[in-house]
Amino acid sequence: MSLDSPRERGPRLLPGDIGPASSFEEDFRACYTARFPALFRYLDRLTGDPDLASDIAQEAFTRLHRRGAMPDEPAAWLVVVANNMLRDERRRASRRLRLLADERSREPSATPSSGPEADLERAEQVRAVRAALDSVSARDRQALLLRHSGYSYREIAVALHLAETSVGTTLVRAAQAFRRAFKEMHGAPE
Amino acid sequence: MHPSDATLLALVQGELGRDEVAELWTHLTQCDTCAASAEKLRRGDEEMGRLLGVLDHPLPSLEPPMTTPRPRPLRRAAIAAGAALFAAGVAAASVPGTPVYRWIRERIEAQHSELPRPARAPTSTAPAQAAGGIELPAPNALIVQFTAAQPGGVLTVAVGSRPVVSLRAFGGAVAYRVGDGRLVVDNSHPADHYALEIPAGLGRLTITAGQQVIYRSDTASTVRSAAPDTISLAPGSPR
Repeated sequence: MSLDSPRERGPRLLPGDIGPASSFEEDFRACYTARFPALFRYLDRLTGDPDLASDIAQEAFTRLHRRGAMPDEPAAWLVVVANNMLRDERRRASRRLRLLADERSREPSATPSSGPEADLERAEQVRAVRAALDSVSARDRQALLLRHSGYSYREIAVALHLAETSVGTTLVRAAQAFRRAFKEMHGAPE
Repeated sequence: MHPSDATLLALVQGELGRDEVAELWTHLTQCDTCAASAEKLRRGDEEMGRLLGVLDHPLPSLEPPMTTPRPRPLRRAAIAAGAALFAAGVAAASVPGTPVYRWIRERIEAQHSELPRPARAPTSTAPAQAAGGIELPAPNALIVQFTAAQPGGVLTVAVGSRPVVSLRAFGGAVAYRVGDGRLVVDNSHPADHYALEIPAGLGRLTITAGQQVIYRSDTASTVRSAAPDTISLAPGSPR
């Protein structure tokens, strides 16, 4: 039995890291380079709308820049800000999101087309994954997506206001619920 | 005592500390049931990652928001609100020389200024940091570059079980920059000592302080079997 490497993710700053030797601008740029992809990926998977995900991710970093000082846990801080913005955006535009929800399942995936049958199969898989995600509670869904976007247990705990010791339990429960729902909709995964 | 699924998941996801990993490994080599559970969780975690990946769209270009602000739907409302506040402020305090007038003028100049913010100058009253550090996925070859030689500075090196490189600084305030296979440690405000953890599979390790190479190994076996445990960062102390 072997342990797999952790999924690829950028450098992670540990507490107490940034001292007066670096400027905020440098810290911000390093954080942006390291963490924007993960934040976008999380929001994209959560919403199914890459434009909205990009907008919210950019706005979260804009607010971090305006803050002028790095928080203790920048990655988790950005997730909290992004989640709050997403919640506010959904309240304001509930009708628009209902239309988007109908469109999401028909959006093409990022991979190039390999034929109409493969495209159809992929679209079905996207729908099944999306439906399985929607069947999980909101917090469990967020924990699952954060983890698989490269966030650590500590960052997930801070972002979702969980005890760090309960993140593993949350992920196990979320994964079980997801798999159960996915099997019902799509059959057993390979 | 058999570990829970949550603990085993944390193990396969690389979230446990060195001591916990060692203890669990010992148990897993003796308990087929738990070993099978861990393997099942590992496969499930891998499959989950693959399934969630079908939802992905291409990553937009990495463009820091402060360089090219483009009005987008979310920002249009914010810009409109800001413009309304600004207009109200100007109308309320348009008399030159008043404190409010000066405050508004400063905000306008700050928004339109194209000068970069000056770096914060280090201060002697800056508090010493607790154990802070950086962790990153391990490359095949790693250069750890301290920007200055440090008399009395000590770097301890240990081979860990996780496939990451971790550097911690104790008692100082250092900053880090990460490049391709390179970790730059700005120790102009030096820490008392540093601890570097490297994975056993690291192919090549080079450590420099200032302009001097203080440690170099060219093979994975050398790093694994003969990683130095303590390196001096003082000038003129190569290994």
